[in-house]
Amino acid sequence: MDIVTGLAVVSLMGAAATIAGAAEDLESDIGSMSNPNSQVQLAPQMGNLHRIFNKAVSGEPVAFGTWAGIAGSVALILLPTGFGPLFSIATGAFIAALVHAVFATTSHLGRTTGSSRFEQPLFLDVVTQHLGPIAAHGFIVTFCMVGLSYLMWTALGHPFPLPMLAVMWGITIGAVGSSTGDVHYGAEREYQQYPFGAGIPVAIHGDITRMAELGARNSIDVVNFCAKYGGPLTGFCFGLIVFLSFWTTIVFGATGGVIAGIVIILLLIYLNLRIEIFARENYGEYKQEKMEEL
Amino acid sequence: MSVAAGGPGGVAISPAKILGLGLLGLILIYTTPFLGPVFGPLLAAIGAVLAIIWGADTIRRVASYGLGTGVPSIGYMSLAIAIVGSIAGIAGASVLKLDPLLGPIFGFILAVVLGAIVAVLCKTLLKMKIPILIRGTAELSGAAALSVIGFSAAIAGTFSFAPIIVGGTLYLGIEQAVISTGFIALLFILNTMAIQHPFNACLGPDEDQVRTLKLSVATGFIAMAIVGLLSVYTSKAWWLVTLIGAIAWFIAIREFIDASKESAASVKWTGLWPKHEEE
Repeated sequence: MDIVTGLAVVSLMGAAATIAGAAEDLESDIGSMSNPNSQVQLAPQMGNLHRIFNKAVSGEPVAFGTWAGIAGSVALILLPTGFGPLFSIATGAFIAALVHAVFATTSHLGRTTGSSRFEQPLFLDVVTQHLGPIAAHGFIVTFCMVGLSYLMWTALGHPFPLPMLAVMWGITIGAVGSSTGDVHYGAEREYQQYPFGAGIPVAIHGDITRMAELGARNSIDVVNFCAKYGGPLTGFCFGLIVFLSFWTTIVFGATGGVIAGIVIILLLIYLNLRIEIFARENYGEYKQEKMEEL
Repeated sequence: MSVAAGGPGGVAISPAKILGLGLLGLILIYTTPFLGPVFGPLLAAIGAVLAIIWGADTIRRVASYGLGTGVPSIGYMSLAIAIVGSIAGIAGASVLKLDPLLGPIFGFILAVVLGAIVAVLCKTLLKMKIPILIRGTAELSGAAALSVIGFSAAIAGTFSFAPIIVGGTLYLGIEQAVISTGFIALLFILNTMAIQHPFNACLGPDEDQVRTLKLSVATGFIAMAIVGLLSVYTSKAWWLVTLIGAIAWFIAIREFIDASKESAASVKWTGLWPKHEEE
């Protein structure tokens, strides 16, 4: 394969990864997965009842590994039927989305009834309203991830079979999504009644923001907020990971790619250091007396 | 998380009964080669579902000592042990030119032994203070291995590692049907999900064994329905496995949803949470 075709394939993979990353982060925000989940779980125990979706389907890596694995496996079954890769991958992602919705429902029901002594009501409209967006975002993620795996498998000729690539990429996007964007929900949106940048001291654990601009806050309000920075940032991060890791070997070859990868890592470490120094100089240290005024 | 630290809550079904259920799963898996190309894979898949229920109950017992966010992790770990054990057992029987019938029992025993070794390391090196860790991890690894072997046999139609011809029917064998296609990776993560999800989803001070096990039946059968889809090209029973899996899943999930509604503090279609008096 010549470099231009290779770059085109890698760009397409990067684009799919960017969309998948953004959708993955927003999906976990709708269900309060990973980072914010323990606080949603804790809130009723602290007397703070709410209308937020509590989706504790394991960690995001296992969950997205499973959804992408199901989609990739069903796609592999459908590919020889002649309907074409797009239809096959979309059908696989559709079946994965159905399973996803089932697991999301059972975890919300299970966690709510598992601590029923704290009087948290089981709101059935919370389940039905949020299932659509959860399954839809999950569909986008699995479609993009299996699409990416398919490109890697066919165009780049990776020796692993499609379901295995899909599972591995699913685990990867779950890991990246839970470590990058979730803080935007868990540390900001979840504690919006406290001053920006005040951190989350133990004294306010479980005292999550339960009221919205109008009425009770639900998880759609959360995702509306997180779609501005948290989601796109995760997408950007994951897209860059996919693009840069393939771009180096396509342009510089196997050995040159490893050297280019190390150079990129060093550059990123330096950039991160500069951002941290910039933030410290501009926003200063955390001031204790401000919390005491509360 | 401290919501469920200090051992399991009430036990309605004893661990010995659940262990018996798991071993019944092993027997069902063993009937696979004798029941022909339709009922063989079906019983193998049902055997795997029984193993999943056993695994979910074991996770419940081990993880209720305060594992919290470690519930998915121990699920992951047990499936990793199970994949190594079961493939080594099934392939070992083939490599050593032994009867393929010895494969599943080899895989099961290897996984149990590996699980026990890992648990001993956790206790001695990591100093984990869970009284039933060794027995729990060994049982969990065994259950996970049975679930992998059962679903692999359901996809391949046999638990022979290499292709075999039985009664004029060509079975591809687990190597070609499950490993080369990459379905083994899906089995790893799907069975992890099926085994760890019931307790992880239901965890809390009011967690109830029967409700958790109802959910484990549902996760097991939904996994079985998916496994049925994957065996379209390798098993004549693919539609039966999918259909029975889907119907049994529907019954189990309805039971679980009813049980959840009964046990919830209150069930509302809409509205705000109840107002508490200021204390």
